[in-house]
Amino acid sequence: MTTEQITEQDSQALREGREYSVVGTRPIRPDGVEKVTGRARYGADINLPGMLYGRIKRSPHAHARILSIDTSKAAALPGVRCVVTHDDLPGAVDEIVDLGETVSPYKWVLDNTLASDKALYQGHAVAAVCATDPHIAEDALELIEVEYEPLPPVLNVHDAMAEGAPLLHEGMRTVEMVARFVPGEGRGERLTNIASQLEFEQGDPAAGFEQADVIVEGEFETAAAHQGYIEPQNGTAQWNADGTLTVWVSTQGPFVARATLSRMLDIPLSQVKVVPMEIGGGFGGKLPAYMEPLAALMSRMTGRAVKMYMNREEVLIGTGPTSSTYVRCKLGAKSDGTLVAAEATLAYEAGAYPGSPVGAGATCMFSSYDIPNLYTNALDVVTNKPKCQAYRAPGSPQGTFAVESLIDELAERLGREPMELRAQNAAREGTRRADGVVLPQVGAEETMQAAIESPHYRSELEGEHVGRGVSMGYWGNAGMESAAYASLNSDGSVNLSVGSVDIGGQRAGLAMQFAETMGIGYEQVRPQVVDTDSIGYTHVTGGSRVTYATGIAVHEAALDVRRQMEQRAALIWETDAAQVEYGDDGIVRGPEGKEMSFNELCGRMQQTGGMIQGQADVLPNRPGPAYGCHIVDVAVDRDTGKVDVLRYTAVQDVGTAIHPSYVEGQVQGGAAQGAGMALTEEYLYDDEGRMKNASLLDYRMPTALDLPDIETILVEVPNPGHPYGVRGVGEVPIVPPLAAIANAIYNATGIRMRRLPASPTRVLEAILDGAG
Amino acid sequence: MVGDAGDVIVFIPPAMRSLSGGARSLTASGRTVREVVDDLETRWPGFRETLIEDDRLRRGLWVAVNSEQQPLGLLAGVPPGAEVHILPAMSGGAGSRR
Repeated sequence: MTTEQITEQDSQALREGREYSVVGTRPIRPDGVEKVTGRARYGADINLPGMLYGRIKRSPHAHARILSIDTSKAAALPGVRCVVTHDDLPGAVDEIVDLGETVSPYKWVLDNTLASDKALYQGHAVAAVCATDPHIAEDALELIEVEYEPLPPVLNVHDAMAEGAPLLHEGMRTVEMVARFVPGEGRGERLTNIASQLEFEQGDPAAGFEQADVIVEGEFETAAAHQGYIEPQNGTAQWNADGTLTVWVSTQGPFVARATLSRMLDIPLSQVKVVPMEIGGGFGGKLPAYMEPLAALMSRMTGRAVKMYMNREEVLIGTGPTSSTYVRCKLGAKSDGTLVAAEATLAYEAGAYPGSPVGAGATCMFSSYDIPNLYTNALDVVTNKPKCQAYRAPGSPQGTFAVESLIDELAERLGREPMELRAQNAAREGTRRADGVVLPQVGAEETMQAAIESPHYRSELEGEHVGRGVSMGYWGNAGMESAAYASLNSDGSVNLSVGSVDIGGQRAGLAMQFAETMGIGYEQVRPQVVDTDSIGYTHVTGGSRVTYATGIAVHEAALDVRRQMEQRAALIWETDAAQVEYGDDGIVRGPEGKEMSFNELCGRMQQTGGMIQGQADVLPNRPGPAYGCHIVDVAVDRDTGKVDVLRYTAVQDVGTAIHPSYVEGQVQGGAAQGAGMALTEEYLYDDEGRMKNASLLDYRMPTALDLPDIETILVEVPNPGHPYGVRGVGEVPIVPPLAAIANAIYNATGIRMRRLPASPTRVLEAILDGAG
Repeated sequence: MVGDAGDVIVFIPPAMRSLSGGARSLTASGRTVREVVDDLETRWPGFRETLIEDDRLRRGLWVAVNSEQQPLGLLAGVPPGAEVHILPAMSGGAGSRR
């Protein structure tokens, strides 16, 4: 039976209103006790005999040519075991590598690990050292002499795209994506910092705007924001005597890390074992490998284990946040509110190397609505800042901020209630996204309706200078490869192994799906995340894919077990397996009313052919797009410009909530991060490209004191592409907050905040300028 | 699953319309994505070089058949009457083949 057939059968049951025993309950997470008692093991907890400590020398310049690097004094320092530079990395070849998140020329991967000819951002790694003591390693960094020729930095998309702008990559021409989407192989005429251009077009946008009775347009900007994970990046490598490599690391993608290490160190994949540790958050920021290759390289050179970890400043200057963005957007509607045309130009900062999420931004920004005529022009622009990385629904919050601000403006121009105007134009099954893809069954209308009917939306606003805003948000979600392995024990307990790193309670959610399919109790299943030697290839924990895709894997592993248990029961009852059926209640039934429970059969495994293992490797492709609608009330202090969030409700189509508490937690977390992007979070740079707020005291993320309790309303429109109707839930909730809060500020003050964050300074300036 | 060859509609993104004479969509025939590309190539030369490298869909591209992403790429089946979209992979959030 194929995945598709199984899923289709179960989807049928799902549509018929199947009752669940485990799905939808709220059991305790299996990793909870270890974490609250401080016993869970994170990367920094790894300590090995004779271990060395690695540190990284970073460029103080945002843009500089590297003329020379002298490591001799550092290497001579007692306790130092080795010093490496770009020259110690395997030579760059003309090759495109798949990094799990994106593809990139291999040279750029190497250069971002250790700079070769140029330092392209402040914090760019230029050398690494390892020593017997972390303090010696730190001292050795001071002895590495790097001679730079400083170059003028390019610090935003406007300067980067200007005629005559300093070039980061000599020889770069704009790539027309789709026509030849290989970064760096552009066919444009002009040398440029625009790494690529991607256009989408649906219908006839020009004709659409001609039909429009009302047109609204504007320019919008957002700032780079940090993913805000608590645990800094870390990795420990041990080059073993037999030539194999073991790496313990905090990562969202153990198999991608394995591939990177294999490629960079030129050893077979089978000789690299990546052990994913408990992870203190990632949100996209822990997809790339920064230090693991250097730790491995130095371990190979010294024969000792090498441990590396970043401090907070290094995290902020040396790893990638999300993009800073510029979006110019236009919407056209008929006088009855029907959206007839939309267009947008998006320019997203990629940082030092190409690969911003501008394509996702262009795809997602209009996807809450059914708009027949669309045009988007998306530009990926390099600047002298860290290479941006994924951050929860990468690219969508920024584009959506523009669209949802204009929808709000349109509602006002038309004299329409904002949510009703949205609902009138809601995307539905059959709606074409900007990229032409037709939406399957989605819950946009249901989500909007739930927001309209929510107690929050129906409540009255009270107080001075208070306002309410709403916004929709869309994310497509991902499928990709997942594996699962279930090993049954004679007492009826099950060890369930997966390769998906658990960031958001996925172990619980996966064990619940396995238990549901088996018809057994959740507490009988012991889930664990295992290393890359112990499970089949599993793609990253990202794209809101784990509960969906790895969920299908554990479901199929359970079906594999069920089939084997039917055969065992048939053997015991001396009948044909076709006469035996494993029921959803965990009871195996045979002819003449014979029955046997899961536990009883487990007790007879050894006498009927040995222990039973179930396994599955899947590559599902119907992840089910998801929508969120957020409602927020704010109060604006007109004397200081400070915006206080008074009440916040997040409505979201979650497909089926496997573990509602963790789904609610995801929704609340995403909303809080989006509120930070809307109000306070921003990478600040001086004119030389040096980050001015590289600490969490100065880089201001919202705390529990800054936000009210975030109310959640879970809408369940099951995804037909998953046996239990799961849609990814983790990323959507970061999409609506930017526009919802900006619209609330407008409602409170009459000021349209088109540049975020709406920090007190910006809001006060707007008030003093008389915009409000 | 590979069935009988039939006409399918291939949507041409703006950046590839120089190959299609400006057409936004083309009708082609084939049971798999590869056969569809081969059929396009016979009438609109350049598609094969643009879409295929090393006997696989060029890195950074993904294909959707009837709006479902196809992990099998060139080997994916295409039923008669299907819509075929060739799209750029999107970075971020495990989206390289979304």
